[in-house]
Amino acid sequence: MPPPILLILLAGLATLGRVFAMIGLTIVTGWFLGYLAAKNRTVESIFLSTTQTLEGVPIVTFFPLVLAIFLGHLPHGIGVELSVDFLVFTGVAWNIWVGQYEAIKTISQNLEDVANMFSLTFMEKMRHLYIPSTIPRTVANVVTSFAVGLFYITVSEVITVGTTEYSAFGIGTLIYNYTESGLIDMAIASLGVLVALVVAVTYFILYPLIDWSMKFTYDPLLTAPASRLAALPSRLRGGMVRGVRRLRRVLPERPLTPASRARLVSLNSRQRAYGRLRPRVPRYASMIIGAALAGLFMYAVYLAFTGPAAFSMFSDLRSHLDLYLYLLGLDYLRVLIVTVASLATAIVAAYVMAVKRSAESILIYVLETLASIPAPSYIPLIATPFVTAVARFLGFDGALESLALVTAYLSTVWYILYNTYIGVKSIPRELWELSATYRFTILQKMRYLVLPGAFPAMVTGLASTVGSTWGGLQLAEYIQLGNKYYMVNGISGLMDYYVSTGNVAGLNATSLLLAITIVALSVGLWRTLFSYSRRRFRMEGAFKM
Amino acid sequence: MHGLGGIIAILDVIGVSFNYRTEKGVLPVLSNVSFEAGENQFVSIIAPSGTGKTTLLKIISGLVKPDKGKILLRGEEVTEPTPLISMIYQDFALYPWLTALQNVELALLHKKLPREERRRRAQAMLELVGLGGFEDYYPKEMSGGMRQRVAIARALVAKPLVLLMDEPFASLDAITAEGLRREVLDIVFSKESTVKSVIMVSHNIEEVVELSDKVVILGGRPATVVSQVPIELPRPRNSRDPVFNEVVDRLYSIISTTVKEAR
Repeated sequence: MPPPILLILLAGLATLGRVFAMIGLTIVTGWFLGYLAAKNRTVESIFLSTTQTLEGVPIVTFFPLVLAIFLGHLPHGIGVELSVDFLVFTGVAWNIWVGQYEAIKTISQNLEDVANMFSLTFMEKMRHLYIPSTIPRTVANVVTSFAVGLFYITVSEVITVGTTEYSAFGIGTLIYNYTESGLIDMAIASLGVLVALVVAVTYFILYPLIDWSMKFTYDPLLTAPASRLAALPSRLRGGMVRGVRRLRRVLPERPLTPASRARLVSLNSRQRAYGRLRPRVPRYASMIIGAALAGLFMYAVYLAFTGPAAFSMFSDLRSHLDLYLYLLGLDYLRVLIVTVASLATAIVAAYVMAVKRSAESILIYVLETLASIPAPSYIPLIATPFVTAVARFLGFDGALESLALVTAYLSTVWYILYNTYIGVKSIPRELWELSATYRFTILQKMRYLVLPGAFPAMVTGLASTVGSTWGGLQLAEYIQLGNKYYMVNGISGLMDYYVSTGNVAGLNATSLLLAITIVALSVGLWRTLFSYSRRRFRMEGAFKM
Repeated sequence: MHGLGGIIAILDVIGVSFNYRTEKGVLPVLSNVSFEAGENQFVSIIAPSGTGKTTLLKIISGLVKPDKGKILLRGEEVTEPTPLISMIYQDFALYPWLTALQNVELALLHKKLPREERRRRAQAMLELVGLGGFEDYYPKEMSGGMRQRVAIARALVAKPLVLLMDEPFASLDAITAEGLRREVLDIVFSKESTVKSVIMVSHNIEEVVELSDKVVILGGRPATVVSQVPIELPRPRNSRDPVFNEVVDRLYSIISTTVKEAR
C-alpha cells in the first residue's frame, strides 16, 4: 500500500486520466462523425437529433444501461472501468461533437475549393483542412467538458447496487471511502489534491491550449489584433523577421486575456444562441429519433434482464405512476427554483462585471477557479455540517431540502453565469452609450438593454446546464451515511434509493419517465426558446467585446 | 484548339450555361457563354454584380460542372479540378492555421515530392513574390497585400497553365492594390512562371484596362457575352496617359450601352 499522499495523488491522476481519455476518444471520433454529418444530410439529421436529445439527459438515466450492459455482462474489473468511462463519456461527448460538426459545416467554401483545386486526398484534407478548422471549437468545448466530466466522474466512480458496491480507482472513490469511514481529514486532503490538480490543469494545460488554438481560427471576431509589422519599412521588417522567427517556434501564440479567453470558450454557446445550425432539423425528426432512443434504451434493458424484468418495469410503473409523477413534479419545481435563483445571480453578477472593469478583472478569475471545482467533490464533505447548522432554523427536513437546493444551485450556476456574462458583454458598445446619453436608470438598463441583449446566451446556458441541475439533485437528495440514509421527496432521491437497494425494475421505470420528460422538454421548450430568442433578440453588430 | 489571329488558344470556354437550383425554383445564371484565352494573354471579365462571374470562374476551374457546354484546356476537356488551373480569391483563401510557407506547400502535396524539395520550391516562390523572410508568418500576422502575395505564390507553385483571379485586388486598399497590380504581370509572366493565360474577374475598369489584352463583357439575366473588346495599348501602361483614359471611357460607354441593351 503506497503512502496516503501518493495514493491520493495517483487517484487524482487516474481520475483526470479517465476524463482526458474520454475527451480524447470523443475528439478523434468527432472528426469523422462531424465530417460525415456535415457532408451527408441523412447522417446530419440523425446526428443532430441524437446529440440534442442526449445532451439534455441527466447521467442518472444512463444508469440502467450501465447496469444492464457493463456491470451485468462483463468481468468485474473491466465492467466497472467501462461503466465509469461510459458515464464520463456521456458527460463530455455531445458538446464537443456538435462543435466539431459545426466547425466543419461552416468552413469557407473557398478553403474547400483550394483543397479540391490542388487535388488533396481525403486524409490530406482531414489533416490540413478539416481537423485544423475544428481546433478552436474543440478546445473551447474541452474546457466545458473537462468541468462536466469531473462533475460526473466524482458521482460515478462509485456505484452501489443493493449490497454490491462497484468502484473504480480514482479520487471520487477515495473521497467517498474516506467520508464513509469517518476519515474526514483524509477526505479533505483528497479534496485539496483534487482542487490543486484541477487548477493546475486549468491554468497550465487548458489555458495555454486555448491560446494556442487561436492560430486555427479564421473568425475575425476572435483574432488577436494584427501585428503592426506590415507598416514598417521593408528592410527593418526583414531584419526583425529573422529574429522573431526563432522565438516563434518555441512560444505559443500571444496569451489571451481572461475576457478574450471567455470569448473563445463561449464561441460554441454563441453559435447556438445566435446562429446555431441544429434547429434546422425538423421537429418530427427529433421526435422520431427521441422515440428510437427510448426504444433502444428499453430494448437494452430487456436484453439484459430478459422478458420478466422488462415486464416488471412496466408493472412497477403502472402501480407507482401517481407517486412517480408527484415526485417528478417536486423535482421539476426544484429545477425551476434553482434556475430562477441561478438566473438572478447571473444577471446581477454579469451586469456588475460588464459595467465595472475593476470588478470584472477580479471576478473572472474567481469565477473560473470556482467553476472548475466539481460540486460533487466537496458536497459530501460539507453535507453534515451544513445540515446541522441549517437544521437549527429550518428543522431537519428543511435542512435536507436546503442542501438539495444548494447543491443543485452550485452545480448549475457557473455556466449560466458565464453565458450571461458573455451575453451582456456582447451587447454593442453603441447601445451602452445610448443608455448613458438618455440617462437610463439601472432598472431601465436591465429592462431595455441587459435582459434582451443577454437573452439568447442565457437560454443557451440554461439548456446546457439543466443536466447538471439534475446531477446536483441526484447527489444531494439522497445521502447515505453508514447504514443510515437521509432523503427528501423527489424522483432523483428515489432513483438513488433504487440504485442502492438494487431495485432495478423501479430504477428502469423512473429513468424511463425522466427520460421522456427531458426529451419532451428538449423538443418542446428549448427549441422554441432558441428560435424565439434568435428571432426576437438577435442584435446587429453584436459580439463586440 | 482555336486560332486567335496567330495566338494559340490555351483555354476555350464553349457554350457554357448554368442554372442555380433554389428553393423557389431554377434560376438561370449563365447562358451560352463562349470566349477564348490565348498564349500570354490576360483576359478580364467584367459584369454587373450578381451576374455569375465567380460561378463562371469556378466552372472554368472544374470546381463546378456546367449544365451545358464545356471547357477545353489546350484542347482537352476539363472535367474536374486540376492544379493546371489555379485560382486566386478576393479573400485570399489562405488556411489561417498554416504559415505562409505551409500555405504555399499545400499546392505541391499532390506531387508527392520529398519534403525538402517541396519546401525549397515553396520558398523560391515566396521569394519571387517578394515575401522572402516571411515564411513563418501566419496569414493574420500579415497585411492584405502580403496575404495576396502568398495566395499568388501558392497559385504559381503548382505550375499552372491558366491563372484565374477573382477580384484579386478588391480587398486591398487603393495604394497597395496599385503597387501589386504593377508587379503582378511581371510575376505571372516571368520566366519562373508556367502561366500561359490569365483570366481575371473585376469591377474596376481602370484596373482592367491597365492589365488586360482582352475584355469580355457579360450582361443580362441569364448572363451572356455581350461584347469582347481587345485592348491594344503598349505596355507598361500609365493610367494618366490620355490614350489610356480614352480606352477607359470607350469601355465605360460600351459597357453601359451593351448592358442596357441586354436588359
